Amino acid sequence: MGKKVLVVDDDADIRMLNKSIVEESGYTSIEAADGQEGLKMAKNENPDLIILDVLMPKQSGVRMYRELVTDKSLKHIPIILLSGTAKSTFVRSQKALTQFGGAKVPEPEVYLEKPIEPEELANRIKEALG
Amino acid sequence: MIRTLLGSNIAIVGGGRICKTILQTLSSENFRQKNFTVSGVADIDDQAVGLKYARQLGIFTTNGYRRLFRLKNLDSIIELTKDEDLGVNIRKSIPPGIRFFDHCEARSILGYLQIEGEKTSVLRKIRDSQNDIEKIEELFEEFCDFFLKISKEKNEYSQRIRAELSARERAISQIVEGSTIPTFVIDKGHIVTHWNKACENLTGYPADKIVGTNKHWQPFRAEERPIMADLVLNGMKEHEAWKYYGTKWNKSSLIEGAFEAEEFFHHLGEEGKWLFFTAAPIKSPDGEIVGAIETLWDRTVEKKAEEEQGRHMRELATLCSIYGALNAPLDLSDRINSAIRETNDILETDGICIFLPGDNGNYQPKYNCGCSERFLETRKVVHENSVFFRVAQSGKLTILEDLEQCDDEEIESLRIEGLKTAAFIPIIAKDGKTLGIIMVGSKKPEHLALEERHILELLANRIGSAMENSMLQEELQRDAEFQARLIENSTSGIVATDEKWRIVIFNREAEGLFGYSSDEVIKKLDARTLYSPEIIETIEKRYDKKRTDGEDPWKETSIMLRDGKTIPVRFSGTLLHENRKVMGSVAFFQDLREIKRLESELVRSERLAAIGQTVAGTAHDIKNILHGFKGGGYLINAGLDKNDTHKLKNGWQMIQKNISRTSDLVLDLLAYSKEREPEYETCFPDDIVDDVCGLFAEVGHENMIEIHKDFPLPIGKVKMDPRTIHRALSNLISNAIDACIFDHNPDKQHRINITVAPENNNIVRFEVQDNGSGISEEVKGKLFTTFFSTKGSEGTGLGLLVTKKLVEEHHGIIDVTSQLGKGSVFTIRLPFETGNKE
Repeated sequence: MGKKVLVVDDDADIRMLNKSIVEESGYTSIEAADGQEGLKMAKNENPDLIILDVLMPKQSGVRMYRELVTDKSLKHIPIILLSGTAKSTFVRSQKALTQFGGAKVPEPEVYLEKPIEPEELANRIKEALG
Repeated sequence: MIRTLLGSNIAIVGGGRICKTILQTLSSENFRQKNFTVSGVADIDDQAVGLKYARQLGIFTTNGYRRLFRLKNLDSIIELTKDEDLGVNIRKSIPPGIRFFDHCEARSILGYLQIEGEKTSVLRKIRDSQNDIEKIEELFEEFCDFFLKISKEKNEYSQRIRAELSARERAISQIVEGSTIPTFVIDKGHIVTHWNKACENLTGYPADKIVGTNKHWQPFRAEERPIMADLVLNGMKEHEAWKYYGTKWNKSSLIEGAFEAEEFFHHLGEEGKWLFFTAAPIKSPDGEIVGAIETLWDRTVEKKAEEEQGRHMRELATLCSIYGALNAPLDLSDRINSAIRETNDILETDGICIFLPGDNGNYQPKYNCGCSERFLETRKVVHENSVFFRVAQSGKLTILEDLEQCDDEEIESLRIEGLKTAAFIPIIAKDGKTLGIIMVGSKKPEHLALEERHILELLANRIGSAMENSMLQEELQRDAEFQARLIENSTSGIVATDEKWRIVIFNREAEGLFGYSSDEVIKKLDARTLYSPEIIETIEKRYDKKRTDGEDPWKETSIMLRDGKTIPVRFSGTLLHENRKVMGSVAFFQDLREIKRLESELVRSERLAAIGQTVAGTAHDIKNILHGFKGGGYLINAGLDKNDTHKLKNGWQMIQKNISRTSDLVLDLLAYSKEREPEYETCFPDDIVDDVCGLFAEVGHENMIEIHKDFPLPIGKVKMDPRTIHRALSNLISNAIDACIFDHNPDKQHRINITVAPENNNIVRFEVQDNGSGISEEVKGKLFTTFFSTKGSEGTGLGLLVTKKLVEEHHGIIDVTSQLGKGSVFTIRLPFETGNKE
């Protein structure tokens, strides 16, 4: 199929796990360890899906998500958020940033809270790349 | 006329001498064949000679002339009383068919009757003389003499009557002419017969121009019209009075048929005159109106005085209303609004609007009475030639008496309102500044004459001072409120007294501090009963000192509470004085108990916050660990399914890592949450350090980090808790390794130095130095106080907290020095129990 999934997570184990799941599902994967690196790769590699963690050093997933959905050339890419942080916390952080003068951003369509069954993630990946 | 009397039946009113003469004449032999019958005589006087004589003759007599009307076959009534009024009355009431002869006519009748009688007697004598010429001549002479005598009498009577008449006329004339009251008289033909001197003076028209003409309207009216004398002459009816004089006329209460009125005549004199005029009919004896007399009264001066008084009253009333309105207990805008409403009512103007200067210097309508919304909206005051601008600059009242003649664009909006006159009055403050402008408009032209100026200036003056007062009051009130709030909300207890130490201010904080309510102490309690001698002395002493002498005004002392308890306070106080006279005292107290309690509370709450954050952070960690376990299991399953040893290995690694993370977390949590007493035992710190370094050798090697140990002086055998040393040092070395890994600097050879050395006989110093990423100042502040991790999922955030807790439980100290990008040094100093050294 040749579709490409970008996995962004600061935890190397999780990256490895997520990559395995992606590859088991029949797609290729690339990885980044923080938001900064992730954004750079999103621009250069033109992935078909991004699996994104929230709490990361350097640039967090909160920031990266904003950048992705407000960038014209990137906002078409579907995103799966996968984090130990509760969805409500993530949404609240986005609202706070909006209040401090940031752009209004949509709520994420797919937000998975760790821990999840690897099969569920696999299903979500397939749905997103449908 | 007389011949018709022959053979008639007559009655006589007035039984006097002439009545008797007539009766004698008629009853004489000469009238035997003439058929004259007198059937009744009336007189109010029972003893009148004619009446008595009639009674002797057997003629009907009466006291009331009306009884005569009922006599049978009466032809004529003769009046002999010379009473004109009676004559008029008889004439009025006489039944139809009966003729009436007044006393003048009766005179002629008497003369005729006498001559007739004489003639009859002479003719008889002539017949008896038998043509004796001499005798006939004599009789003729006799008759002529009689005739002359009668003629003469009649003549004399006529003359007397005429003289009486002309005397009466002269009297009227004299009365009219000599009167100081302007008077004129017209006759039946509306021709002026009299126009007196006073009338000349009043009207400015000389008598010779008016008398003999019907131009008497000219001095009074612009166009010819009947004036009151004319109307009265024509027998004025009320509807005519209404027509010509509106509501300003009255029927005279003194003279029947007379009318009076008051009116202003523009054409009289230079400025016009107020006249009060009365016109009365002049009647002939028989009641016929034959002329009219009109008197004029110049009331201009009185009227002016009245108006003046009216104006003063109005001013007074305005003043009262304005004062009343401005002093009403409402807010300023309500008071001003009702003041302009009052003024608008009193002046009967059509709109008053007060303009105040806005931020941009333009005048904006602020208070309004009677002006339309549209007017207020369209008002624009911009250019320098604006009336508003001029009035504000000059500070002078300006009245535009005829707006029709102003072609100013600014005035256009006034004209659209239908205003004809407008006044602009500046509101001037005491310092001469223009506070605003009052615009007064009227739909009547020239409405706002000079007299209204007083009232308008009065209004401006009052409103100006009301505004000033209000501004001043507001400022004072604001100040006072601010101060009161300041005092009330001060975190210090404030106690102020008058010069006799009587408490006048006792704020909320002071209430809480001393345990008294302000109601209990204000103006009731001597502050010295609350103060210790030390406080009183300090307050009194500070009065002499200047503030700049550098002494800390705050002193720590204690105060005794109501219940006898003593509490620690910080205190500052002084006497207050004005013109070297003591006015009172003020003292400020701060409850040190509170401050101490707050301090400990702060510490506690920080710790609680740290625990809270720890739990939150831990939850995240546990989720990640669980995710790792699941992921590891997934990979192992995948590896087994496909016989993929690479996947199998990765899965197993992931599970191992998460097992160790779990144990780290559990240990940290236990260490942090448990209050733990160190368990002292004999140990060799150097050996413990060796062990710990051995644990990290592999990790260091993997990450290309050199780990060095340095023991400048062996410690030997001491009594310490070896677990504290092990765990604290592990944490620090682990942190150091992380710091080197995070320092993404490929040119740097990372190394960690661990030094152990004795200090002061009873302390071991452990030092872990790295040349890794270093710690920023910001991060350094948070290192030990709260849960904090820069390591994302790699750290629990508990490491240093646990280390610090362990060190402190061992009565030791932990320190850090660090430089961002250069590295950090963590130092732990732990005491050991002495005397065990062998």
